[in-house]
Amino acid sequence: MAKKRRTRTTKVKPEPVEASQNRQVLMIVGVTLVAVIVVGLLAFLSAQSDDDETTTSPTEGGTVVEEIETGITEDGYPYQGSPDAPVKFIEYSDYLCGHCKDFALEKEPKIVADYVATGQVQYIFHYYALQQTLLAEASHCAADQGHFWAYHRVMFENQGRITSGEIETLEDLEAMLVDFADQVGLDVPAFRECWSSHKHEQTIINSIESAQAVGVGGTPAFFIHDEFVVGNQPYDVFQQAIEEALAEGE
Amino acid sequence: MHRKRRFVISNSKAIVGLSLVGLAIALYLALNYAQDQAPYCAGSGGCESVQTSKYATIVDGLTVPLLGVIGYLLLLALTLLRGRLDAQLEFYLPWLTYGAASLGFFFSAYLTYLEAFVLQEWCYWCLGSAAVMTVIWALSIAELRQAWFEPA
Repeated sequence: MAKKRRTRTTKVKPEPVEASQNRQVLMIVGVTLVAVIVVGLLAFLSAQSDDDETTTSPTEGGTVVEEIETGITEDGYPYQGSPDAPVKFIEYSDYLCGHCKDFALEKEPKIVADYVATGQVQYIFHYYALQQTLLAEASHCAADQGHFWAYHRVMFENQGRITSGEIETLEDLEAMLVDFADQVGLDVPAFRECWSSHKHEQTIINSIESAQAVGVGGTPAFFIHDEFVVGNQPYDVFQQAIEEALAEGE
Repeated sequence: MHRKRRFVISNSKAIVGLSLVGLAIALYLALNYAQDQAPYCAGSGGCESVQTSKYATIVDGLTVPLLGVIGYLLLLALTLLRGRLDAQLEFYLPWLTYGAASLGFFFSAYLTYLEAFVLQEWCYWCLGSAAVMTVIWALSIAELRQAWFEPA
């Protein structure tokens, strides 16, 4: 390659070719090195950012949630907050979706504290995922024992474990779900029996179909009264929608 | 007789075209990121897993898709400036293009490595951008070979 260049260059500039070529090689090496160093720096910075994104204590939000009225709606959806609350806040969410996790861990507790605990909002959870129903079935088995919301939170907190590749077989999944059940304090044999018998499979399929019927295209998505909100939006978006719905009801 | 087109012109035109494609991909991902929404991923959750991983943020406010937007805009600007500057500055344009494309290429290679071995999830948009950047990088080297023979 170098030989080819030399002969062609000679035609253009006979004398200072050597020096010029050396300079060109130096420039190529220099520019490439600078690029590699900058990329190294960027890679270092990106690998540094929030390393603390591992599991947190499952009790913190869970205990608050358990004190609020919870249950299952007539059509099979877990809820928290009074059914008489003026505003219905419906969430469409998936346990494997990262933005759903962020919403569940960052914003859901705030909405619960600010509006559900005060009796203004009934928070209703609709599961929506395209590929599987097994995780949601487990959360409904927890609901049978009155601990849907605590289980729901643990599931989101451990999303990284579920998606990490730790689970290869159905037995692995069951072991993890049972571990969550244990963390929440469920009756484990009853939970195991419920999950392996697919007791709630049809409920979850109904939930997914109803989400498709209303046109939910991705998760998380929300119906706040009659306003449709898509994505893990900033808290004030939810706050505003709830406030508007409350004002409308007055 | 069939005449060959001039290499330099088609090269920078190709870089302009590819930068626009890359820019569109980066903008789409940056907008999804800003709205905290998962990008369309042809039925796989890979795009979202990649987007929500810690590697998607370099420092607060500077995300990988945003870096892509800046990079493709820079490449576009450097290529569109051709023939509009005096000769002295003009000489450095292919070098700057090569520098910017090298940054893009090495960074894309690092991101693809993360997808393959660390996250073990594929984000098709990211792979598309990496492919575009690789071609731009190759074109920028071809351009440099041209510049090589021009008198400084």
